Amino acid sequence: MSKFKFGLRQVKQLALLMNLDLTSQELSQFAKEMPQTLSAIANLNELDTQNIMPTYQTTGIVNRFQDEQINERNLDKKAIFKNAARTHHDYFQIKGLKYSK
Amino acid sequence: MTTINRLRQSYRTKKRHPAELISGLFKQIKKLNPQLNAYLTLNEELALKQANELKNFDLPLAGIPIAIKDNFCTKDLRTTASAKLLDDFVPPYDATVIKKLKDNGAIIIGKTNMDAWAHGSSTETSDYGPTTNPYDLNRLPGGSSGGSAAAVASGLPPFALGSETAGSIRQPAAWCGVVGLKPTYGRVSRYGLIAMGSSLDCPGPLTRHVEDAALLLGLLAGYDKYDATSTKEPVDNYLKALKAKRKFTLGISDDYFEGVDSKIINEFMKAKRILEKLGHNFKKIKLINPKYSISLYTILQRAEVSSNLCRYDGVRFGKPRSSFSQQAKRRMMLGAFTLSVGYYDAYYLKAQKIRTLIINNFKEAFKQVDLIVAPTTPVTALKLGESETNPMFGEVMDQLIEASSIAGLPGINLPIGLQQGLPVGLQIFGPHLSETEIIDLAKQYEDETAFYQIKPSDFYEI
Repeated sequence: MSKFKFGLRQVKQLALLMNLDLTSQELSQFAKEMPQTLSAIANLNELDTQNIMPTYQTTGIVNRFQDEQINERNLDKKAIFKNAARTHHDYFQIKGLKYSK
Repeated sequence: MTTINRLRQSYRTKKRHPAELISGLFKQIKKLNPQLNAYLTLNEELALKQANELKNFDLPLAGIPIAIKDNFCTKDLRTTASAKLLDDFVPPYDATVIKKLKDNGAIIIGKTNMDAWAHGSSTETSDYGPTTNPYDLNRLPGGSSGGSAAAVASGLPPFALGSETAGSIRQPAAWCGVVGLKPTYGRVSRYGLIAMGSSLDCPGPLTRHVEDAALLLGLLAGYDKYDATSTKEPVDNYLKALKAKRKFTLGISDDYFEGVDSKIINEFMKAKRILEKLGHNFKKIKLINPKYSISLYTILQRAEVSSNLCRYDGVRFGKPRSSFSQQAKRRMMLGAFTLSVGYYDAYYLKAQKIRTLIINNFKEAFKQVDLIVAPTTPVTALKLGESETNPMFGEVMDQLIEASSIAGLPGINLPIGLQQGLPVGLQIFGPHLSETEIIDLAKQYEDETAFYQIKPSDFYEI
């Protein structure tokens, strides 16, 4: 497995990808922990996987499609909005999106 | 001994009424739950109402109380997955398995504690505090279905629903001394189960008797059009399997004893002799060492978690992402890393190739043997606080179970005795859809040993 140098910058990038606001304490803790975890799982390199196909699911089911139909478990509007923090005229309301950082 | 069928029989013959039974059960739960913390939410009002109104006991689970792990969506009943992010989430629909339980007459007692988002094997990472082990309140029940396992071990009630990704039914079942059945991946619908590792997640029963596990599995299993990964294979008659009494060739692998506590090995050897006495043959097989499963599962689980937890944006339900506890954040971060450009091949893809190796290894093994037996866990229940010492605690505790889960295989934990007052578990697992054979062997072992007589001191006989 390739060597990865973990620094605060890399951890911040991953936090951004995961949309997580981490505290500086969490950032430094993960920066310390993640290389330890990666070295603990490095033993996978001992197994030869040349010419081995990956398995993403174990059922063997291929391309299962569903007919277009009315789903009898469809929820009504009231049920759909029941747990929402903020709604506005049958819409979920969110904060404005920020692109900068 | 209380089984579902005996309970139903006592209702039918009017020896008992579910309302009286269930109100007694709630009394005992309220007495013990402050120490056990097995339940997060009780469904008392509705459960008593349903019990009071019951007149017909024809349905297979009519008036049967059952505890539900808190990661199954239950309509109009709070569902948190033990995560504060979902503290006030009340699902607008039932998971398929919940619908099946209700349709068969079951009465939901409440929602049980678990590791938050099912990330762990201790129930200590619950945002609502740890569940304790009924055999020793200073110890962990295992997890992530720890609340369900502790409830069943205490008889509160002796039937529960859990879920397993790689160990979360069988490991807490082992630490709490109960039967825990993890079906073949796809045998039971995942629809409405809060997703953890979607290529592995599987609902299954925790009970005190093999018969109850078989009965519940028969009712829960089957194709579900709302879960595209559920199998269309017909559901076997698991109740018939209880009486089959076939003789099996059982595989045993030295690699599954490495690092296992000698007291557990001793207990396992006693169980092995009992199985031999019952006429089953043992054969040595070579399996891939579980130490690789720890690493493999760490990668697969983190990767699937990082993707599954993306849906929690605080918009449609739940609180903002800042409400995630540290364990969830830790797992998402590593998952994002193993899936990211430049590292995908080295970690995620490599892991999925090793998954193929494990599947092939089991396929070879099952050409020689019918089923495989091993200890379920390397140690008995550890003390509260132990899970915090290692970010891979769960993976290490589940090391003897992970490979079979990764391959999608079914398995069961059976209690085989106590060591220093703590339960020891034996696992039986087999090829895809071999639940019938597993139940058959498990029942033979149960009949011979009556392991259900092992109980904690606070056990409540309903």
